[in-house]
This record gives sequence, C-alpha cells and structure tokens, in this order.
Amino acid sequence: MRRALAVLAPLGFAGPADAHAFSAGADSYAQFVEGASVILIYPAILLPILVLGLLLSLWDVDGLPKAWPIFLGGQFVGLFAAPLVGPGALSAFIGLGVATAALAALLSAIPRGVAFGLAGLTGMGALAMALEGHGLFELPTFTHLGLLFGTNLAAALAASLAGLVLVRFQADWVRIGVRVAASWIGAILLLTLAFELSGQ
Amino acid sequence: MTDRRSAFVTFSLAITLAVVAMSANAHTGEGINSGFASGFWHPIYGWDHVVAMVAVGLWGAFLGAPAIWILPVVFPLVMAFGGALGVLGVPIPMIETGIALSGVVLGLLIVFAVKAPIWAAAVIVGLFAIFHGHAHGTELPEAFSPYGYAVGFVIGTGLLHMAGVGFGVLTRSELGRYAVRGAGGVIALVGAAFLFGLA
Repeated sequence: MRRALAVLAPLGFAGPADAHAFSAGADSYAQFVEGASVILIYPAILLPILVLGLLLSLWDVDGLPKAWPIFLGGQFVGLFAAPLVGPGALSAFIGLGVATAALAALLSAIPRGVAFGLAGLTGMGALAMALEGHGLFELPTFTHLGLLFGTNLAAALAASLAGLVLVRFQADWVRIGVRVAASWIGAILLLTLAFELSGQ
Repeated sequence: MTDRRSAFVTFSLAITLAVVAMSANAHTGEGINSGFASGFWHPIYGWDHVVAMVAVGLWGAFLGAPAIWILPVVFPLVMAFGGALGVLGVPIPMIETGIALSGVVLGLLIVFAVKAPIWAAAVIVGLFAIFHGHAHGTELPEAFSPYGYAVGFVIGTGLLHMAGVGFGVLTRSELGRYAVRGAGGVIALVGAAFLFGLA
C-alpha cells in the first residue's frame, strides 16, 4: 500500500501536457515528456498499440517479450520512414489497428507469423505517424526517446495487464474478456477511422 | 512471476498517468467529457436500441458457448462499421424499420428459444448491428468530441450486452428460462410498438 502511494504521489504534481506541437523548447525532460505524450494522448496512435499488446498476450502470455525485437525493429524503421509518409498514412495505420483488433477478437489461435508481422507493422506505423513527417534529426533527441518510450510503455501496459489476468485467472471467461476488450477497441478505431476520413 | 507482473503493471500505470496528466477542466460541458457522455447515453436513452442490445446478450446466453461471447464480440465491431458508414454519409435505406425489426426478430428468437447455428446467429446480429450503428453515426452531435463520443458509444453498447448476458445466466434454471423467454416477449412487443409507430 505504502509503495503504491509512493508511486502514485507524483501524479498530484504532474503538469499540463502540450503534445504534438513539438514546442517543448530546450528543456530535455519537457522534450521527452512531449514525445511520450504524442503516443499516449492521441487515440489514433495509442489504440492500435494497445490492441497489439492484447493480441500478443492472447497469442502467448509472454507474447510481447517474444515479439519485442521485431516491435523495436519496426519502430526504428518508422523513425527513418517518417519523412516519406503521405497524408493518407494515418488512415492506413488506424485500419491496421482495426485489423489487429478483429484478429485478436475473432481468432481462437493466433499464428506466430501474424503476431510478429503485426508487431513490426504497428511499431513502424506508430513512430512514422507520431513524427508527422519530421525527419530523423529534425526534432531533439529527447523527443525521439520520448516517442520510443511512449510506444513501448503503451504496448507493455496493455500486454502486461492482459497477461496478468490471463495468468492469474486461468478461466475461459477471462480470455473471452480480453477478446471482448479487443473488440471494443476495434469498434472505437473503426469510428475513429470514419472521423479521420470525414475530416471531423 | 505474477507478483512481478503486478508490480510492473502498477509501475507502468503510474508512469502512464503521470505522463498523460493534463490540467483539470472538469464540468466545462465541452470536449471529451461531453462527447463521452453523449455517446454513452445515446444507446441507453433509446428504448429501441436498448431492447435490441440487451436481446443480443440474452440470445447469446440462451444459445450457450461459443455464441455467448461471439455475439457480443461481433455486434460492437459490425455496429461500429455501420456507424462509420453513417459518419461518412453513406445512405442505408429503411434504418428505423431495421432497428424496430431487430427488436421484434431478436425478441421472437428468444421467446421460441431458437437454437440457430453460430454463423446464422452472427449474420442476423451483424445485419441488425449495421442499422443501429448507422443511426448512431448519423446522429453524432457535431459540437462534441468525436473520440469521446466513440468511446462512450462503444462502452454504453457493451454494457447493455453485459446486462443481457447477466440476465441470460438465469437460463441455467428452468424457472429462469421462462423468465428469459418472457423478457424476449417484452422485447418483441417493444420492437413491434416502434415498427407500427406506437412508440
């Protein structure tokens, strides 16, 4: 309890986040937080990462550690690919999230190749979308580190939460619950895609 | 291993919340809060939506595994597809008729305890889900946050399914089966009232 309070206490002092404007200035910590916030605040980027975490834990309770090298590799490709992405890329990334959610919700057994492929694509897409066309060294290093941190934190959080309940409560309904959660995220992403396409 | 996972989850959650924390602007009546509330209450305030979504959970519980979870998984995904069509302005004919008919058909399926194959159940539920989703998508209030609306809308719908599944657990007893079939009759009547313009 004390440990939990000690960890949660800093939340009371957390300041406002001004993400995606990339205007944090010269403060390294502010740059880092700004980078992480871009991933953690924007639903169109965050939700595909969260649902990937769920899919990886449904595939294998240690799915994220197994797929992490590919997920990280995808992120580094995304850093380099960011200047090349066009305006329609965000819609494609949301579509990838919808597909990931549908596979997590509907497949009773997820093939390893599918899990690895989605990990690589989601990692690449998340970084490429978050950078919004910025080149590799155009933004401060700490902003890049924040982006990488936010991406991996989101995936780890979703995968470890799902993994925790799947390990602790080994019952069919728990697995069903995780799949229902994936379905709900997929539904939200589908609507997000519609908002993106309609310009809302 | 589990303790390590718990500690990691607690730590990750705390870090995430600290990073995304923003200034508190509660009770302004704008933004994601209003969007969420609007989306959340939208399916719950409409009786035609409520009966159909509860019916999905009820029928799923009546059909047993795997329908009990496949139907609530299929419905939000397909309904969101219908919602996306509504947001994009793609017209679908006879939306209100389809919504009312969903109450009648799903209610009668429960009344007669119809044991449809899972693929047929998924098709029936999916078809009606498009009508419900389209109605929600076209009625999206422009003043509110669309993201908040989407989250609230999906959670509100999901909770109605859960209510149906929870009530459907009664099917484990003989008396409960009658209660659930009776509820199906009420759902069919509400659907019929909407279908014939009485509600």
